[in-house]
Amino acid sequence: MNELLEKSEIFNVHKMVIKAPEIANSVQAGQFVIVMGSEYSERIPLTVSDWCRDTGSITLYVIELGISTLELARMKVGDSLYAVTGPLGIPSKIRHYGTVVLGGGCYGIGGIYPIAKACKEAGNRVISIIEARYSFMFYHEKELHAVSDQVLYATSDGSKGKKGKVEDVIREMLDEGVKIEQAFFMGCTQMLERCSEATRPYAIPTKVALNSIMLDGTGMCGACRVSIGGETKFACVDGPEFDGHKVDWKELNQRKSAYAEQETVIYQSYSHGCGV
Amino acid sequence: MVEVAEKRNMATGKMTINGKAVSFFSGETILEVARRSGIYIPTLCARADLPSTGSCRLCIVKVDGVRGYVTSCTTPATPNMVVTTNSDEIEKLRRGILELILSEHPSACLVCLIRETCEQFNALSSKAGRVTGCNMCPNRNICELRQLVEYLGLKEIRYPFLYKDFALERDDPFMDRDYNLCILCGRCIRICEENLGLSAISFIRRGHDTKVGTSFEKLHVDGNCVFCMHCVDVCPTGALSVRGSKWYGYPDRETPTTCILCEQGCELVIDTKWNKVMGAHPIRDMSVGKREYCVKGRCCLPALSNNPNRLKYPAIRRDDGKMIYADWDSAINHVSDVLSKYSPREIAVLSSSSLTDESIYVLNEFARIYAESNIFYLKDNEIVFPNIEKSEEIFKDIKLLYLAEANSVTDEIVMKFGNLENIIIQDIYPVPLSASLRVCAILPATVFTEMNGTKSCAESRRKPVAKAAEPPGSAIPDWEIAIKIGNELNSPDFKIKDLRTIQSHIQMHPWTIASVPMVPKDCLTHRGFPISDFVPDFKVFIERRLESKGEIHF
Repeated sequence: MNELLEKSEIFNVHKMVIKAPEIANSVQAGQFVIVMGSEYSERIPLTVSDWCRDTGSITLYVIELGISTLELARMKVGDSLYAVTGPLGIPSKIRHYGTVVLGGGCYGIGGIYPIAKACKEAGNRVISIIEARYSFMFYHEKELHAVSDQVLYATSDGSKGKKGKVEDVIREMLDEGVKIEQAFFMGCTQMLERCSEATRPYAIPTKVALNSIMLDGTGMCGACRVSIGGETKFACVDGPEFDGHKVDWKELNQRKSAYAEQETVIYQSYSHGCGV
Repeated sequence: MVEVAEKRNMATGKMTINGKAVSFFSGETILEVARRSGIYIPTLCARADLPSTGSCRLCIVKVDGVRGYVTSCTTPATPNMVVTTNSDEIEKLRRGILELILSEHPSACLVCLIRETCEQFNALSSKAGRVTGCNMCPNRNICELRQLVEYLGLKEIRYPFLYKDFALERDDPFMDRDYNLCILCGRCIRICEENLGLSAISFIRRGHDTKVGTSFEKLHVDGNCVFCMHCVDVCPTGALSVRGSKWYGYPDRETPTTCILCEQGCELVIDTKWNKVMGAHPIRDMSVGKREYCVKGRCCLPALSNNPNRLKYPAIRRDDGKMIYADWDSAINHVSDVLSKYSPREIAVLSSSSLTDESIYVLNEFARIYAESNIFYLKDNEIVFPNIEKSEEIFKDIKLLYLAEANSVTDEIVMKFGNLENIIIQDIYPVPLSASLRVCAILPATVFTEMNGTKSCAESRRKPVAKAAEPPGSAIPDWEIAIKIGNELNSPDFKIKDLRTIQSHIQMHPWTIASVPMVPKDCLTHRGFPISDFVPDFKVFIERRLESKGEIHF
């Protein structure tokens, strides 16, 4: 069960292809799974970036950001994850908008792919914008090119595409008069906020995939609650996609850092044994 | 520096740095003279406590009459030398050198357009495995490269970045290494070779592939490394880190104290955040002979202090036989009720060599008054009586045992007490005492990182122990527990009330402490508990060392 079929690292982003036929059979763009590396691991929500119904596998991109993701990062092909639950969350509602801009950073570079694909299939003009620190940190590019009319790049050091971030590319496009009918962003909270602020002055409908702390992913625990336009929503069952112009970012960031102490202290009593 | 000068016969000369007349001792380098005279010269590879090699080139200065620029860390001062340490030209050269260093060190965050907001947003670095920028680097808050970027006002890097693409090295216990961040300053190699005499690491491979490593690229645990982590302490980048203590950013406070895990009593500084022990490191000066840390003091203290299984609240046995949590007043009441059922000759105290002097003294005083001086220690399963008039003879009368190191009590030792009825435990972790024994109370004590006091160490030196963190739950120091019970039992002879009176008593009766056995340097336990039970990487270290070398030295 949940066997790791393929594993590679692209600069701290770990590609994990996992055998999960039932999930692969029913997952749709925009949905996620919750995984546990071992019996005592934290539960981590991860966007399903790709899937293959023939082989019964799903592809996840995991960033190492703490002990539980460190545990996933150290897994090898042939190992099995303790649990993979899903598909969870409401699938992206995709229709014909016209021009759609998809922005992705970190795990979102892989994460926007199924949405780009669905947008393309719905007959939209798809512009994918991806950001990274360096040119060599991009991944999943070939697939993204195949489903996008245009792929634009932003790098922190200017080594590929525009020097800057996704929102800098968007601002440039808007300044040039490109009309955007729908925007969709996936990445770290900071990136989602920055991008949403870039589309707000132009009142471009903006969806963001929120990644709050989750436990069960079925609306029972309430750990993932977020405030959207003053209303409490559960990112797991009401989301993960929400209107980027209505998210209470400050609250989301506070809630996400609620366990900073525990997440740091746990390293003291962690050991992965001698690796050889 | 005076020590250096003494070695060099105190011969002095005069020279000029930046127009200021300064004197130097024979054998001093320009950098040493400048530092002593309060003149800043940037360096990445040179440190006052390490021999210099001149590898980073950032300390270049202009010497009148000398062609080009010389590295101040390797150039000896000579009489009438005229030195300029900063000029537009020198700053420009230094910026160029730093740009070249940064073209091989992940530095995108330094030139990123949203650097400031991003750093404010990410109060702590994200806990990445592979670091590709400052905001995922454990060293962000103390990075010397970043400090130099600020100092030299570097705003852009004109060279394309080359990622070295070395494999992450995290298979060793306690230590993570990412040589993609290494700038090859060689500080780690020098401290290991020159100051510690170990040479566990060296430059390996050639040319562009040069990196720091062990011979045959073995794991450190299989080589000479003793995991003192001084290489981590001197590394100017995030290439080397202590896995358990790498992500807390700035400590809320630093507390100089003494490690009492063994008789050596090494001075160390404890970093505290969230009122918890987050890391321990040496005092800053790491000159030869100044420190000799072992893996226990350097790496094990956070996990020993913060283990979730620590005893947190007093527990007492109810009349119906069930153990329940209680507040301190009820627990002390209960304990003194039990104690007063027995005559002093029926009570014995097992004290612990791992306690501070104050706790040892109060337990001793407690035993003197309430247990007819029936106090003993356990050292390597041997029973040690500090009072030479006592022997195992007393055990046949003992009905109540007061244990301050319960985990050292083996079944074999319990067998020596034929008439045992009750046990009181005062400790830091739960003890798996056999069910047949009637434990009537468990009292949670603090570890030495959570209390003030002193500790007598080898060579009869008494050293300060300082409180660096808050204890878990309502745990209190051992001496305080013993005073509470002593006061409750209300003997007029029991006069000690606080830390100050204990310390004046210790000064008057130093033999009370001197007669206590010491904890040997190679001890693998703390207060009777195997350190490896609470620090999983210590277990890995011990097992692997025994397997590869057959012995362990600290």
